[in-house]
Amino acid sequence: MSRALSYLAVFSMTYSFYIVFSGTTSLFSLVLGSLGSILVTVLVKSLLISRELSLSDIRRLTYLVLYYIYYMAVAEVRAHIDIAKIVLSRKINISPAIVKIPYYVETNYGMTLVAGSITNTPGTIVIQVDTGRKYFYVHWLVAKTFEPARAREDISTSFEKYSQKIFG
Amino acid sequence: MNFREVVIAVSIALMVLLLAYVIEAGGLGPIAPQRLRELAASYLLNTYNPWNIIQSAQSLEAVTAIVWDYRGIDTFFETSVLFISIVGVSLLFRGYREKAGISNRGLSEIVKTSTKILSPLILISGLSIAIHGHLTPGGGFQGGSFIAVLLVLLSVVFSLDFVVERGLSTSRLLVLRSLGLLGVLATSVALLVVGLLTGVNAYIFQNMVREGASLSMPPWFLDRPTGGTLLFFNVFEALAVAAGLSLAFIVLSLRREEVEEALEKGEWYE
Repeated sequence: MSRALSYLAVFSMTYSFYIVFSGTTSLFSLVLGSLGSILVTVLVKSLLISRELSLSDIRRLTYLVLYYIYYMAVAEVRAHIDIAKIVLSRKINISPAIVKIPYYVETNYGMTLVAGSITNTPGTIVIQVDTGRKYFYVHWLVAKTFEPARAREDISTSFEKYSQKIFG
Repeated sequence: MNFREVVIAVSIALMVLLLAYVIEAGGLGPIAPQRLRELAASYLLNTYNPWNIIQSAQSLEAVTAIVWDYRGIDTFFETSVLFISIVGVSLLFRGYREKAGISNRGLSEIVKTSTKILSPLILISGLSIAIHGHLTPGGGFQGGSFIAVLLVLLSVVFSLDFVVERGLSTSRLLVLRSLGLLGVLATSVALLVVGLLTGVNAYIFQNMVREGASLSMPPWFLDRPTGGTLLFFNVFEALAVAAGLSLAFIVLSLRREEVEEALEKGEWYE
């Protein structure tokens, strides 16, 4: 059951991407694409999934959708406005620095989501990760503090709250 | 802004303006000929032409129709040339042995996880390009190259060990490559074999109904044309190219520990 669910998850990701990529819903494409997606799913399932899924994971999926909306509508917009202000102002007021911030999510997927979120918001970039001691090294355009815990509050707390719920 | 910058800006603007004028006035000759040549016109007219199937490939993509139908034999030998070059590469490195456990570092965990998520998407888009080769730009070679990118990514991001451990050894890739090529061969003689068995006239590389040969590959699959043999050619070519390019990449990026024996043997041959 849970194995079938894992396969279904990989298949639906692959197939929906296929439909968007090929840009057509003709029967020809849908049928051949589903065959191709089944083949791809069988090939990559073990690469993608380390813990078999269960039905209760749908809750996590809901958080993922919520997070996507929050990230694109709030976090991203806020960061863009901040950077736009800096770019457009006559006296550029920045204090670039590389800071160390801890992270507490346990899975690689969760860590990647946090790192990707930090990098994708303008002004901060993850340049190195220490998976052993669980630290990100982040280049921060307007560094307010060098204290790891306080820098984390400014940069990644909100990302990590969701990431914890989505990937654990 | 000083005088120098003004001169540079004005002269660049002038150059663009004058070039545009020269081209517009026809100073470089016509950019594209006004009249189509007869050959081009006949290809455009017949590539997809349900009213004249005898000369048609029933494919919406003229390039694929020319490559795999009108000039199919030529393309078959091109594919063989690529195969021979890959045989040459593995012959040059003969005696190597793939080993696991040499280096397992690769790039950071972030890149690894992202690559994992990307891998099914790369595979399926390569397949999509191959499947739609007779409908949109693209085709077997393009789709196969697309898929081969995955192996390059995996071996850079995770290291070659990871690829070998997953069972993608060069010998297995060579089998896949040969299967693809055999598929191309089988497609090209499929109608001929059927014709010989049933005693009907048929040709090598026959696609649709031809003059005096009434056999035909299926022209439609559900609601889209297949271009007859073109769909099969594209899929098998994608398999052959993906496996072939991956193989060549692995052989060219072998580590010292893996080719040591081969090098010793090479010296011994001298």
